[in-house]
Amino acid sequence: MSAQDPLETIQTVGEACRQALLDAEDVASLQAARQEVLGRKGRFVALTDLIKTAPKERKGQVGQAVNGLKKELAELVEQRQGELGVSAATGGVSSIDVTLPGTAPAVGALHPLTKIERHLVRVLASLGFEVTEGPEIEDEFHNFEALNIPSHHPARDESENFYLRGLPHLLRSQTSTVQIRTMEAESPPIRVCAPGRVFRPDTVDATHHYMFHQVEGLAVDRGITMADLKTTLLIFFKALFGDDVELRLRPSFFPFTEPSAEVDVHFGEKGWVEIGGCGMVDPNVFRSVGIDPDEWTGFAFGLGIERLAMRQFAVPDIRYFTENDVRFLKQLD
Amino acid sequence: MRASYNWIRTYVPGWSGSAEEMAEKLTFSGTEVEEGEPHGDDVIFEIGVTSNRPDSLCHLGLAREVAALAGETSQEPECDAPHDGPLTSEATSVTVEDGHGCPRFTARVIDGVKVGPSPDWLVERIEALGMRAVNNVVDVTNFVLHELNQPLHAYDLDKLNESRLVVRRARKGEKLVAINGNTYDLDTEDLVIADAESPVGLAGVMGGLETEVGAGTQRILMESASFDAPTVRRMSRRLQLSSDASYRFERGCDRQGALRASERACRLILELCGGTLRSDPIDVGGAGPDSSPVTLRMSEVSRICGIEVPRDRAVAILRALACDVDDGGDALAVTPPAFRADLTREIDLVEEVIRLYGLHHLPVEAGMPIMAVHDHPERLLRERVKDRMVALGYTETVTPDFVSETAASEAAFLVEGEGLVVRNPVRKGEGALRRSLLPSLLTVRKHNQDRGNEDVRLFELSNVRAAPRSADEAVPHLAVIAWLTDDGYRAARGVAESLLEHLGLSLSVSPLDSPWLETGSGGGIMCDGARIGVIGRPSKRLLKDAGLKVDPIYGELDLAALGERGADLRCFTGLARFPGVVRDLTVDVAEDRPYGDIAALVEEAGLSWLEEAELVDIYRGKNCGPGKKSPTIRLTFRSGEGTLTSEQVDGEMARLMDLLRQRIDATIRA
Repeated sequence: MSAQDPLETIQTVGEACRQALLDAEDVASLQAARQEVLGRKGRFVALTDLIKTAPKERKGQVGQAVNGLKKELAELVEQRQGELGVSAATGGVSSIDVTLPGTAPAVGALHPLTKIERHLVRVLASLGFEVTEGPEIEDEFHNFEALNIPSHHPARDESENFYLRGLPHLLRSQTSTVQIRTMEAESPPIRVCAPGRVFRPDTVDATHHYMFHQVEGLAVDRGITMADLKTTLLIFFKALFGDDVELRLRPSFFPFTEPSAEVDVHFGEKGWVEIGGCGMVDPNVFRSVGIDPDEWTGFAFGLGIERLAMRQFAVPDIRYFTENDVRFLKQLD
Repeated sequence: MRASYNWIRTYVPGWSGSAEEMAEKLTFSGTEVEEGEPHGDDVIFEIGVTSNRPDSLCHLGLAREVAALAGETSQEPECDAPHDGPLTSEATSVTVEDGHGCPRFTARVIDGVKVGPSPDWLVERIEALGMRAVNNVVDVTNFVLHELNQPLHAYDLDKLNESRLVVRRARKGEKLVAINGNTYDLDTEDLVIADAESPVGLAGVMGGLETEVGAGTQRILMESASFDAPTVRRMSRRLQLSSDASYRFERGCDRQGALRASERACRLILELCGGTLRSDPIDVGGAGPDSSPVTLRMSEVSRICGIEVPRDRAVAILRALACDVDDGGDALAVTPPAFRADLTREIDLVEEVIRLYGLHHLPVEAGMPIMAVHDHPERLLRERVKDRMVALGYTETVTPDFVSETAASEAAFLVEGEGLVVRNPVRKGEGALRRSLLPSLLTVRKHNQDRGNEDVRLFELSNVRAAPRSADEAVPHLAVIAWLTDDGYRAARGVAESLLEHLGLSLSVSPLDSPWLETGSGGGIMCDGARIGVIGRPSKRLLKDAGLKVDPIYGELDLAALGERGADLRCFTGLARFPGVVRDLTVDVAEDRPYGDIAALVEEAGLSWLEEAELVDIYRGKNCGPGKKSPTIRLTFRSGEGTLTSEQVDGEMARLMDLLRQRIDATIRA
């Protein structure tokens, strides 16, 4: 080849390449021809080498010819592809192997607790409960005193709470603190819900964690009754779990509500499950925030979000939520 | 608490139901029977008694509930005992030095007892509850505790120094060997029962070994007292010693019933062990005030509950609960029994009425007015940011606020001040509250590394915090959005850019030194002249401590700063109508020249019609020489008024090239 003038070689090879591309009768054979001509080991590689071997004074000329041919051939491939693609569509020959698997786009996921929380807040908003929030680190007044939990009450024990070293504060042990914050800031009528983190020094196992989430509900108005509480909870759970859900209130005790009750729900085939606590706002709580208990009544409830999430997503162990294995998180998105 | 079904039944002779029915009745009136386990012909209940109902911590108390629920009458046990002996005060004396810690202390003395094994019926009761039978005297005290909720203690009177008792705070250096065989060092706040010389019992918690009743005991002193709940709780916690007695005193026992309970115990001891009970028991402090009547208006029941409970039904319920009810006036005057210290207010009685009437009677009828619900701007912003992160391919994590008290817990970028630590972490050394989400995300990354998960992109939106300046202040918190990715710096920075762009903002990054980021690999994220975040490669030390084999990039942004600056609503600004002109500009600059300098000059040049300047590529190689690099910038020019000509754009490009040559010694490539 070296004997021949490089420009002649380019012309000869170029003609052969052109013909190969023009000869292709369908998309598949065009692909093959393209590979043969412009592929990594195609005919064109030899032409590129001509630039290197050309005498110095002709390098520019040869280079221009090679590049010009390359551009021309690439355009020809495109042109032929257009022609054959159209005929393929009419001729019934597929130009894509549609059975090839897709490549995975990068997909993110919301945490399941966020999804549940949004759902709860959405449903409560539909019942007139406006979402609000309170601090996760509280003083003893808001976490205990105002909630009718006097000093020396066992619930205030150091071993039952996360008090801060050197400060009179603690990580809130319940979202009921937000009841107090809200009633301090607003006058009745009040209807709020407050989702958030709470902390208790429980040993971690399949159903317990020292950090978990609750959603609190509070309604204060003239003439609010425990029947309203029961009605609200029933409608709420119907919206969450479907119209077949059943609700049961079981008398219980919480310092900040009276009468108090545990909230059990029954849905699907899983039997009764305890999902939170509720009750009528205790008059002492109203007094602590300057609301007259003879004029106003109110109800409050607090539900465990992990418990709902475990049930909804069939998660057997609460620790999955804080370990954050991305396979777990993506599975539930 | 464990309780025996058969035992409860002995006080409700009219009960005709099954154990399951009893469990259900108790559970649906507020005394939750968590479990019922067969035990011979008996069923042992595991009962969760709420903290307001210490009176239910005994079989008679449970029987009273059952009777009230079943419409039956409960039968009190026989307590009267013959006081045939001489005066108690001739055998012993009691001094109470601390009337606050011990409001009432009663003592009875029995002479001539014969200590021995208990009869079968008593052993059965004791063992059914999982306790060990000891001897007839000790077993009787335990029996009465579980019958009447009054802890008792029997002393061997002959072993008491000077045969007398003193209730006082412990003295410095005093010790006591308790009946469990352990020695306890006492402090001066501990309340003890002492004889003339030294402590013989921890008040309300446990008696002493030396003075306990044994085979050779002939005279016993029966203590039945009332102790201050916080005092007992403090001592029990401090000594890590909990007993059936301390459990009850911590929740409150009926002071009025103390003397009756010890008479009940003495009656049983006389039956089982013989002996003579001395007359005129010692009673220091007395029974205390009687319960006061509480007014209950039926209108209040309906105002709170939303249901009309018939008045005669309410009266019957309260009487079944052993309240004295005066039904003569408009409202009911209700005097609760002494053992119901929880009933002091009208609302307490409302609860009793509805609790026994049944919550299932509450009607379901929607009657609440509709109310407007407003958006919560901060939550909306958080939702927007989270949704954007998910769209960018990131997965949300939720991690505890606690981190190990290691170097990582010191990491802080956006908050200043000392770190906070909780007093009693669940695991020792893991009580630090994070000041950055970096340690948490590194831990999650490690968890995923251990499970073989690759290409991990994590984000979390949570609060971080540091200590306030003074203890009077609330603990401030800062909400941050943080992310950690294996994708490299430019991809990680692209996340911040995309987030800010979503909020109508733009950012720049300037080098930042931080002990938590690798030297020369950290940057401060700037917006409107303020540093609102950080980004960079975590330091080698943190990565090593976390056990990570990957080399991720971490970013953290102050959410409030985004909220203040970001746009709530975006408006459509129209789409370009004329084609743009695109020019690629490749310049050779020194390797150590930050790209930011070039970007700054592009900005400074103030090029007309410039729509966008984008870094396409950075070439390094033999064509640009040693110590040099060649970034290529793609500039897009566009006019809103018409199609731009080459000449128009050339002029602008020429200005930029001149600036680059003059200011940063750039060589422009053709």
